[in-house]
Amino acid sequence: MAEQQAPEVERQLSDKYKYGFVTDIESEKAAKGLSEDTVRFISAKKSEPEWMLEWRLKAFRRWKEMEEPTWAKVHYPKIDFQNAYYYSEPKQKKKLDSLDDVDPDLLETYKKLGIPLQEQKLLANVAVDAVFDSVSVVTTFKAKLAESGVIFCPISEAVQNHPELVKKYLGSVVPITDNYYATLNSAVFSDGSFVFIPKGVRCPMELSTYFRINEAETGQFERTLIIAEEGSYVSYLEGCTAPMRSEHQLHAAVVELVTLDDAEIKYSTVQNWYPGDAEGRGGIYNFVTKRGACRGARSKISWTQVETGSAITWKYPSCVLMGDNSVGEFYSIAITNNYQQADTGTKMIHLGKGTTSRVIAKGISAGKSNSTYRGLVSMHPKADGARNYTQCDSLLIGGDCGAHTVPYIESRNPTATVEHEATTSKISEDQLFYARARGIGEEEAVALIVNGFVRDVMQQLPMEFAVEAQKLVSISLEGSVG
Amino acid sequence: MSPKELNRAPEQSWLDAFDAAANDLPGEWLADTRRDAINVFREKGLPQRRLEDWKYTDLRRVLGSDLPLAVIAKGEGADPLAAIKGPRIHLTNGFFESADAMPKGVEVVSLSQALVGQVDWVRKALGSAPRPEGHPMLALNTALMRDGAAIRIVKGTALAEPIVIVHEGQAGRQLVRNLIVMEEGAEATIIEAHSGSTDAQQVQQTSEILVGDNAKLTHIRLQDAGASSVHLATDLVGIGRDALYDGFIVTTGGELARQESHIEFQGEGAEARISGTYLLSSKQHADVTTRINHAVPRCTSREVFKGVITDEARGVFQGKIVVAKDAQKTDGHQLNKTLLLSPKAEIDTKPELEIYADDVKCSHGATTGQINEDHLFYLRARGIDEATARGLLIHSFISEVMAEVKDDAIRAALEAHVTAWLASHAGIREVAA
Repeated sequence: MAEQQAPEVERQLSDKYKYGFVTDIESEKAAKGLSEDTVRFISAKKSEPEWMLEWRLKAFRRWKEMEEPTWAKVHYPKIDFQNAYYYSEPKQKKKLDSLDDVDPDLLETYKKLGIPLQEQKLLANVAVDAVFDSVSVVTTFKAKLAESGVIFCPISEAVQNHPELVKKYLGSVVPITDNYYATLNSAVFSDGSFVFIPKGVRCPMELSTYFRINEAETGQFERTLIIAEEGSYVSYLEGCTAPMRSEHQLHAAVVELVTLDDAEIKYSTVQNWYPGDAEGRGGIYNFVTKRGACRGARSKISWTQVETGSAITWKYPSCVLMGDNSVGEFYSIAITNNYQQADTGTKMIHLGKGTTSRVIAKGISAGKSNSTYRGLVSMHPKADGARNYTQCDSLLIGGDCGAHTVPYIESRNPTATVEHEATTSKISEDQLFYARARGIGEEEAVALIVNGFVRDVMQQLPMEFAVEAQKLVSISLEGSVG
Repeated sequence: MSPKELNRAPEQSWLDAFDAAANDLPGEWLADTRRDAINVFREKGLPQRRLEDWKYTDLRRVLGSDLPLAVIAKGEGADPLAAIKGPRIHLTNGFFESADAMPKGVEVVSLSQALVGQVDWVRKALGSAPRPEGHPMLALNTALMRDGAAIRIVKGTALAEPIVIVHEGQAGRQLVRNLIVMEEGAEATIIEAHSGSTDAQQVQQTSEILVGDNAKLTHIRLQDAGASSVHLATDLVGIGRDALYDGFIVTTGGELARQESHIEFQGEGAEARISGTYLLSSKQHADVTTRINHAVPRCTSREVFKGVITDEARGVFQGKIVVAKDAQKTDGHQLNKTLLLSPKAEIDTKPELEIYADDVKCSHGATTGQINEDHLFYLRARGIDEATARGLLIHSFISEVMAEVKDDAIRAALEAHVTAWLASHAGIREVAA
């Protein structure tokens, strides 16, 4: 069952990517390959109603007619979509009632990952939904959340228990025709989190989902849907890890956020999928569609991301600012090392009056990696008085990497203001010398300077995540100097 | 969708034009080059929005209309920058009409004559400027180029007065190829002024500009083509060691215009400046696309473009700085600012950095918006009426970029043009200096 890992690869990397282990858990998989039968299999597995299956099939038929996008500044061999598993679920003896019933191997895995699933030991006030391969294995604090009317559950459960909400909002922000990977996700998504914050409720704790790919040759296609009704607030955290393998694995997720009047969603991601080894072997292809719709007046969606993992990242968390005076934010740190490639950024679509957006993107490239910021700010004719401020800074470490900035600014409203600034430079020799002269080792000094460079974004992260993210920054850059 | 699947009618009129003209095009020795080029065009087709470089400017609609190739005509004496002294070269309808006597160290020939005759320096230089690969419009120009001006500034020559190329467009498809060869240590200012009739016309001008080691070229272009013109000007610039290319472009003309500058550093220690302004009204569409290729270390580039857009006009700015892997100590800066004056005006801007070397200083900035309300309030509070206050602010907005023109007489002539535009299109009264 366990993947045959090339032993030398494992040895070389085990100290750098501590999440690279494989858990030997029995799993049940769909047959390899992708066809209407695969889609039907997944749907049947989830005992989905007919409308959900139809929705998936519609997406699948559409996907077959689409072509893979090639515009991003990333290079990889063509993906063989038939040579992968689209569904894998950890085998469980019976339906879970409490954490005690969870497979101890699974619990051990999450323990190793440092994710507190055991409520009694929990110090941090965070409710966790853990997604293992294709299936959500456990959601904590459900009862406490239910008291305030918050729904936090696997999306497969929401399809069963809250079909009216799923029908209303699923695909309403990222339609099934949106793009190649989002359409694929719509056809084969297996699980993910569903969050509903009712009118006027401030979610009593941070919500968090931990995604783990364990199985080999398996694609992960999770789907997240968060709805914040009028005047509500939620902060949602997302973390991702995967074992080290010498072949690539596909991760194509879709995240949809909806805020109504005066609501706010704060969405934070620490993306640490396995990045591949120093020679560029293995690693996750992270092709993700994330989009939020500020439907209500004065509503707000804030994306914060720390992207250190994945062999290839292709991701543009966006905000559609429909409600008057709504606010969109995007704070991003993208670190690439070795042969990693990241093409990431945001789209801020200003439709409503007085809408504002702020984009702070920090890219760090080291080794032989390439990092691209790609972003769109669009001011529509009705976006009177709208404003955007964008700042993209890139830092290069070493002469073999690349840093690129591709912003698109489209303004069709004379009262809208767009400001964009971008800089690219290397680590300042003076700063490095200053640190070195005080007895700080070179790698440590670089980590220190880089952490200073990304500080504006780090400050946006919830505290628990910020600590982890700072460590990640240092780890990701190991071996990049000297 | 590949271009092959598109309706090919718009391309066909160009392919037919080539077939009809192929035997009469100047320079038999170029026949193979032309044929290869038309095949590139045949394969690529006219640029359309699905191509990244043409995302905001689609040529299929405007260049598909059947228009005959331009014929030799006599100029009507246009000279929009008459205030600037210096010898003239007159190109009418894309054909070399005449040239004034040139100072010592300057050679000027008509391209068509040079292609037919044995002008060694033209043969050597033609096709040698750095260029983007597979560019359909460049290929079309190579296939169909008929005439233009070839200018050579001999080694060590420093010109006291600028050379002014007066382009007068009348009708038809004008395919112009210019050649500017600045030999080692030469210094010159070359000014181009484009104007013309309101008849339908399509101007496709490509200029190959070779700036030799230690040479200095100031290159000014006023593009004030006729209101029904499609005006495409592509400059291919190669810059040698310790040399300077200082370009400035004012765009006010044409129904659809695209100015492309491809600048490549070929020797270390060189500098490129490329700046300008676009002033657009009615339903004009103007595109400024620049690409600065830092292929070698220790070069500096500076770019400032500012625009004012009113009515239903649309401006496009695409600026790209590329720093190659070993081009350390590169210093590249770019700025684009646009004022939108009316609810239906539009600007699309895409300032791009592509960097493969670490020891560099590169930046770009872009802003779009309207006149700053605080600034307006400041002036109004001092008793200045609103129209005058707006005029002052727009003027000062443009003045910043006009300051990039170092020569006082040339700047004054360009400013007169800009001021006249602001007066008639933005309702701004002339402001005393």
